[in-house]
Amino acid sequence: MNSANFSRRQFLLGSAALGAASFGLSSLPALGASAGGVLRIGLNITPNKLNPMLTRLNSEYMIAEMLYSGLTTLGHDMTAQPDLATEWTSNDDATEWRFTLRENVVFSNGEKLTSADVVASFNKLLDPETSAPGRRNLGPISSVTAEGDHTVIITTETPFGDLPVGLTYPTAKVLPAALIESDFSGFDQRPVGSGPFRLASFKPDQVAVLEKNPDYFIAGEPYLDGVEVRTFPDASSAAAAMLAGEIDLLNEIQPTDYQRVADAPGIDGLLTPSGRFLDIVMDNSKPPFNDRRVREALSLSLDREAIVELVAEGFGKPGNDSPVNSAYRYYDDAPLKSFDPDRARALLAEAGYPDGLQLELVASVKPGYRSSLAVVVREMARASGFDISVKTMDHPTYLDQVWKKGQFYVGFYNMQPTEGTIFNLLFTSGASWNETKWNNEEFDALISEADRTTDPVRRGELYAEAQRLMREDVPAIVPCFFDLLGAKAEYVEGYEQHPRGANYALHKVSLSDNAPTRQ
Amino acid sequence: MSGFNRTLYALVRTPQGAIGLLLCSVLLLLTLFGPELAPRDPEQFHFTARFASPSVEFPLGTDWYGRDLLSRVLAGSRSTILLALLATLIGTVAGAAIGIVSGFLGGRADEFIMRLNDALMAIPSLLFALLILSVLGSSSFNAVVAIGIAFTPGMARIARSVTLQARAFDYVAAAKARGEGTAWIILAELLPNVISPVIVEATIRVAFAVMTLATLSFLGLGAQPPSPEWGLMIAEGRDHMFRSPWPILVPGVAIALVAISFNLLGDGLRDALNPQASS
Repeated sequence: MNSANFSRRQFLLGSAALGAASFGLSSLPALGASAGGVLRIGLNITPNKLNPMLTRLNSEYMIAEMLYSGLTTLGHDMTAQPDLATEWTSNDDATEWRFTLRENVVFSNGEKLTSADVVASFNKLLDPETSAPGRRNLGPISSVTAEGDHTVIITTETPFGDLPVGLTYPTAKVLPAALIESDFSGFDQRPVGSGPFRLASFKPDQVAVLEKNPDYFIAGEPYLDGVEVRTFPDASSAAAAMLAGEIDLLNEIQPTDYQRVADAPGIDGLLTPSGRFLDIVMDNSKPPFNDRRVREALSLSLDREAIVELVAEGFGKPGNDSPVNSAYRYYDDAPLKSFDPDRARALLAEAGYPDGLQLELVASVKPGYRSSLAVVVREMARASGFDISVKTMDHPTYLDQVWKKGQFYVGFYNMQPTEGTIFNLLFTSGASWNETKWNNEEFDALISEADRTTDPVRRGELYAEAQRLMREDVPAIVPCFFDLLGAKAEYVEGYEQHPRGANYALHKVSLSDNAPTRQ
Repeated sequence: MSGFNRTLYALVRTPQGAIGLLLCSVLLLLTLFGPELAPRDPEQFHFTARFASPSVEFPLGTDWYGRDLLSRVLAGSRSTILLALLATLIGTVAGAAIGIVSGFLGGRADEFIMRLNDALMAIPSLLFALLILSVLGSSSFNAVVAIGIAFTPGMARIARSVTLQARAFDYVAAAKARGEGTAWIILAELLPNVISPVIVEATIRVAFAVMTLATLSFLGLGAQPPSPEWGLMIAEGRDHMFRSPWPILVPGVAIALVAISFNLLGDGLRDALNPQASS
């Protein structure tokens, strides 16, 4: 009831603003905190792919989120929130889900959005030939069918309580069925979506200009007239632009630049604890890392508190060799692993390396703290007999030659919405990116049972057990989680960093009265 | 060896030659003993002394991990200077050989070699080195090879133009008339008369090699962290520039010093080896 009143009021405000604008009364006082203005956002990785089903980068997720809508969207507490679907229910064993769609949604080409578009979009998304990233992260979906114009039924092969959250994956956007059929490649150039903004112009490596969608399904939103997404060559020049007032919002700042930017007058630093982490990936199937004692020895060689200080400049939390931290729902708290070079040396000797062990650790140069971690690990592990040489390489070469193939390298991953997603992405035997080749049956069984369980208490127990197993068996070393660091001008209102790092909700953002006026 | 003594004497008589020789000798000593002179372990972290300014404990301050910058710059002198010398040597030997042979042969062979050489020279040497490294992969040794190859065309041009002058002299004609072999003429008659401009050029090139090597490391294509190679130190220190200038300043000054020393020595040598100037 309350929320209905709210949106009605927003609607009235919105139409009042529209009315005022059409009479050309530009000097009217702003209505509430909302109406108008153009927000300028800085990025340091250029968005390349405009097709929302093929996006891979945070910058591409941002543009896709402005142009398109999904069934659900991810809340700050990592729960599913309404987007195109206003409500959803499942049967008792969570295998059949019924999503109710909004009735007032229109694509930017004027067509109405119906359940047929949702069905066509999911079929396209799940088609292996589309090779959409994150296809396996949505859930074990077996079929998507329409019931009437505004209800979609999704069935899963196995019970899957996390389906509404799985559907928040950034590539799961709804496109017009007719265009998917006739001109799918056209989405690379001409977006047709139902998001809060529309694309006005796009110059790769320079700027994307988006303007307000007047037909957006949430009345009154977006508050902004438009958004300009500007690309800078690297993180430090984006930070410099923020300091110079050339941009209003920056959602990625290096730890080394953060304090300086956050302390500048007129700028608010944004800091959000997150499950984003660096890990040291070891190939558990080959010597020397097929011996648990070697992995544990390396794990004991690291002073995790110091790593947070040296690698993340203090903007992070130490990790305990599990990718799940307190930003997740089912985090299993445990005392931080100790720094114990003597014990590490003894374990190495036991494993057959009394004279130490020579290794080569590979680190990509992007982001910069990958190689910092490698250097710090090398130095710390020296005390316990590891002789680690560091090899850095540029990012494309790393992705091509080392990632998922190398024996010993530094990995870097965004937070995922659920424990299940991160475990199934990286650590189960059937994981999309099973880079550690840990292939632990006990762990697989726990995760698969948790996927199928709907009772939160039982799930908590299962995930806690899985985390304990990772702490003890050390398939990978997770020494450090990173806070998300960003900055906004003081006059930017309504922007809240999302701990997942891939959601932005720019339709909720507005500029306050004291924003500088621009042409 | 009176020729050497005379050159040395002529060298120290010019101010730039004297200073250059002095600085280069100091640098040579550093190259030989620098890593042993380092007061601390260049890789050891000091958690409590990150971003320290120069003090008695850390004479040139510390970097973001609290590593002693004096020790790092001393330890890095060997790799930086030695590798630069090696790169120059490769470029000089290869370039001189190509230039002298081409100049001696003359005619079509000369045309062919030199046009090929000109084509390579048209590519800026840093770009050329980057090209070679992208094929060889990044490591210190490959960077040295790449710079050596990139220096070769320029050196070949100089060696050839000097050879063309020398070839016209009567002693070459005399040697030919005596029936000497090509190898003898090149090694015994031409080389001694061509060598001095080549040495001068090589000395000046050392400074370029130091800077190019540093540039390649800066771009992540040369030495690998945590090596104390100077260019790499600057590249890594860039992120921390606003918290402390020392991690960039110290290796930056060191690179400038090496470049200046070798340039001075080169200038001095040019005057000292010039027959007109010594009379």
